Amino acid sequence: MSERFGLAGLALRMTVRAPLKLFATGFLLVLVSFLLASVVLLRSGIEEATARGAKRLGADLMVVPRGAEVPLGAGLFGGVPVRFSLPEGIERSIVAMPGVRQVAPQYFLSSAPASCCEAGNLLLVGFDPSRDFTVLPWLSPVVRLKEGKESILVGGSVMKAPGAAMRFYNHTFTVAARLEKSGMGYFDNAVFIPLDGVSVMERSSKGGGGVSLRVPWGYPSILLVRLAPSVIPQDMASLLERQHPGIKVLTIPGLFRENRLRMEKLARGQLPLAAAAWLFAVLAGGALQFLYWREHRPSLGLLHSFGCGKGVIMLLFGAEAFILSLAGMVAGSAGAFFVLRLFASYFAVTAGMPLLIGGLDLALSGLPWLWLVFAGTMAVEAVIIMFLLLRREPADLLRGV
Amino acid sequence: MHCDTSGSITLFLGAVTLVSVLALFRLSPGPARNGVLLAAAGAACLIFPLYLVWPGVCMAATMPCRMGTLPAVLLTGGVQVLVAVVALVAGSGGRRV
Repeated sequence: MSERFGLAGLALRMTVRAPLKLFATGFLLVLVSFLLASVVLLRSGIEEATARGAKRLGADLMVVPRGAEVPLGAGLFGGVPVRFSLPEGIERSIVAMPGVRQVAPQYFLSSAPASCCEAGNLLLVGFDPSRDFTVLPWLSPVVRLKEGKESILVGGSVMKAPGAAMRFYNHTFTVAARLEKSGMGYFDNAVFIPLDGVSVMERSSKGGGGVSLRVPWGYPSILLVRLAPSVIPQDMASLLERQHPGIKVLTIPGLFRENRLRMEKLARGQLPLAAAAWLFAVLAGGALQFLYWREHRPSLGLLHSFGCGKGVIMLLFGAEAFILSLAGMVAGSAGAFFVLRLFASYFAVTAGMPLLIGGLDLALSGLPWLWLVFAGTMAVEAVIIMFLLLRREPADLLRGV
Repeated sequence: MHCDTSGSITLFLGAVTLVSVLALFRLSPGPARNGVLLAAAGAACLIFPLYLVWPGVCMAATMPCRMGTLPAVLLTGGVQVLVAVVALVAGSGGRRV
């Protein structure tokens, strides 16, 4: 059956029933937007995770064994199991120092290192609930760690709901709560066990005939230190390192220094990258649009000969280029958002960097301006191409001259 | 193990996808081709409940199945559904200008 339509219908069909134009222009903008949005989202994701991580640690200093900085990064940012111990007596010595308000020891352990096991390869963190200021303050007030050494807390990426059972080293624990995601592997991928529970688990491991656990009591993996407000963390860190040669004392800004440097690099590269992408879009988009409309001159001639003015045609196809480009940019950015969100854990573990791809508010940071600039450029290009082509007579356009 | 079942599901869905693609190459536009496209989209849709609800993947976020396989399978499944739906919609349209 033949279709009947007027001038507006013809113009509409020329815009929506042109798969080559839709695909080529849309795909180009999707690619450009995907690349740009990935960089923007990575930067803001690292920034957000770093800020949240620093806030959640709640400490002024972190004391680790000297030489353990690299495995510490893997454990802290990637959440992969690491094991190291501080020299003996450090904790007692630091607690007694003037200006130190609170010291929280933590023992880094690992579940069975089997890649085939559902609960394997987990970072287990033994902590003392009475001295903790890193994990418990972030729980909802209704959550209580039950007595009886059975309760544990799990990170936001560990797929176990509150109330579920988890078995480590022949001992069964119950998940009391799941922490909110922070983008830092230490908080997201780890299982936090009170020291009483660690002690029971150590005893149980010896009876099951499986892998036996040995906890280096008195030699914690890290110490989180809170200082009096009058003490400058950097000064205290230097003092502690001078007094105890076997330790490395990291201030919280120092701990995230590497991440900050990477963020600065990404931020510095953002503008040149956007400029290069814009230039590429101008050239490739212009070439695509010009070649398409050169091939479809008769359609323009038809519209023109039916009484559609030059200004209306330019406005129509300029608006079409704008909407198509905007849709491509939004689709590319959405694609980057979903891909990064899906692979955030992979990135955090392999790159050893915190990454939190949050909600849409974060995803929209700065991106709408990029979308408008790119879509506007493509619209201007379309108007210029129309202007150049419509200088010919409608009869010439219809003949494809 | 969840990993094992997830691996079997991935293999099965991969095989279904491969057969669908081969069939699409042979078929011209029409009801049969649309049927194959629907089957491919349906097979890809199965990935989502199978991975996210049953049988799931390992609970530790650092396990290869959680870190690599799950996002990769969800991404390829999503793209497959998108391509099949776009092809179906485009195939049902009228003449091109």
